Amino acid sequence: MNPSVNAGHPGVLLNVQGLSKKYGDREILRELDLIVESGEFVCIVGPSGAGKTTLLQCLSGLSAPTAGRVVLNGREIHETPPEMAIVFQDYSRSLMPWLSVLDNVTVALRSTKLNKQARHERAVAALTEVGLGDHLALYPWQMSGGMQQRAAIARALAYQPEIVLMDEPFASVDAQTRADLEDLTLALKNHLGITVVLVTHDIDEAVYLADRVVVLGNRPTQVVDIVEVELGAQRDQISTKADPKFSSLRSRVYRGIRGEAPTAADAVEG
Amino acid sequence: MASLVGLRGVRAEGGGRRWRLNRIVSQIVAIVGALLLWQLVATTLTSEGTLPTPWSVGRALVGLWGTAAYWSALLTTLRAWAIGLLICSVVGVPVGLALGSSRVAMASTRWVIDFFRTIPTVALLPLLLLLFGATARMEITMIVLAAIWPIIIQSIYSVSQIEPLLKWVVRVFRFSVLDRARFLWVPSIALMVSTGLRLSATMALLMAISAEYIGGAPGLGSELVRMQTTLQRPEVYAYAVTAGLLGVAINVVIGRLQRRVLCWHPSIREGH
Ligand SMILES: Nc1ncnc2c1ncn2[C@@H]1O[C@H](COP(=O)(O)OP(=O)(O)OP(=O)(O)O)[C@@H](O)[C@H]1O
Ligand SMILES: [Mg+2]
Repeated sequence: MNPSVNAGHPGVLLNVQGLSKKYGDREILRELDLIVESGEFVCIVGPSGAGKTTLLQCLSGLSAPTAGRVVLNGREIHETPPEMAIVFQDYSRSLMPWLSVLDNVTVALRSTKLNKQARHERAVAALTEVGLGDHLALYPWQMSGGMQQRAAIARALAYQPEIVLMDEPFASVDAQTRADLEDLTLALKNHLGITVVLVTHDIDEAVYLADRVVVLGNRPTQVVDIVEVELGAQRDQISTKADPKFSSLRSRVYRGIRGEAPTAADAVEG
Repeated sequence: MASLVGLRGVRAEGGGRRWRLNRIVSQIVAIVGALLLWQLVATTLTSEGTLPTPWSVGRALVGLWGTAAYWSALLTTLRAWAIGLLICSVVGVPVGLALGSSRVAMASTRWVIDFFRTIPTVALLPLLLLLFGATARMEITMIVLAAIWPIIIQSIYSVSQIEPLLKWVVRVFRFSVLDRARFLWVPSIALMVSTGLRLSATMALLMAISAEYIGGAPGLGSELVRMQTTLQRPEVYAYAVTAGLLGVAINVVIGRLQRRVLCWHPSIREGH
């Protein structure tokens, strides 16, 4: 299950080399390089329309890159590999309205080798973990947006992937739900040791969640900066965001997105 | 706008049952009204006996229920209708889905389909009579020629009802082809295809009766003709009423099934 670990350093899980993507003549992504290590929480931030969704599609094999390659666990990706799951931005369309939330999760486990009973148990456990244990029989359209997104997260977790890709998963819920879901994701990641790659246009969210923030510039999109976030594993909506380190990281990411050079102050390690 | 919101509110909170009761009452009122109008026309506007009163037609209908000819005609019509509709579905759904899955196929066949579905099938009756005679086979052919189009057209458009994001979801979670069909394709197309089926079912009944009435194939339509030739006017209308009731029953049954199976669908779960 775990990729090779050498000399105490976590191994490289996902390796993106020279990834480019064009839609016809429009160049969206230009020669992106990116390494995600096992157990890391990486946030990719970029302005709206930068091609973040396009990037995630290429990372997951849902869309073929024009050039370059994506390697997961040493194998090049052409379709979504079994050790990867995705949480999409649009929760209202990513769950099947004809299935109860429990069935939405169990049905996603049919490609695993588990038997029916085991699939059921795993789905119930995952839904309980995200706080939906009492709402198993509800249909997605009977739930609030936040609950639907929890269900989508539970579906990804129950699949027990090594890596979860999340495309702006909290962009369309209210601020309070958003904070709750951020903390839930952090807790699950810490507790299950999953690798998470989360795409967002929200700088605060990226810095709050990530071990590392990858900053994308404007189109054609390239990596303009990579920011290590050393805020520790335990984070808190109030104290972490009040930390001076948090605000300096935040301004560094902000300047990266705006295309300004990092200042000397930003370069100071936390 | 405000009143619209108000209406929704009442329906959501209130009692779906009260609303359903209201609907049943208003339907009964409409039926009684139609019968009264019929009675009025029959007794005042037409000369005695040209248009029998609802009462005499009702009596004739009850009388017919005691005859073997009535039940065998009903069964014959129903059998032709069912076989015709089955052929329509077995052929129409796959053809529609295949056409709907390909942009090129859809664009290139659009005019052909529009052409054939607007040809009045009754105009083909002489040809069919020549080929098959006044038989059930002629009747079934006519049913298929007329009633297959709604199923094909609804099936074509049903393909576009598959949510693109869910197509990705089934790829991400590596659904097998069979599971994709079962958990994604069938539920996605079900509403449009079943609506096509419902339209076709009504059309098929209409065609069955026409083929019997005009073409002389055995069934309710030809029994109606027989009553006409023996000048049994109330019985003529009793057969016509039978055809009407059959149409209503078919629509109600398919509609019920649709609502039960597709209770999750946005267009069904909000309304009634
Ligand atoms: N299938 C496609 N065909 C052609 N162009 C596309 C396609 N998908 C995306 N694009 C274009 O690629 C660009 C990047 O789109 P993408 O959705 O990846 O951006 P994004 O960073 O995710 O934006 P947002 O923050 O608004 O979600 C956009 O200009 C979009 O118009
Ligand atoms: Mg996007």
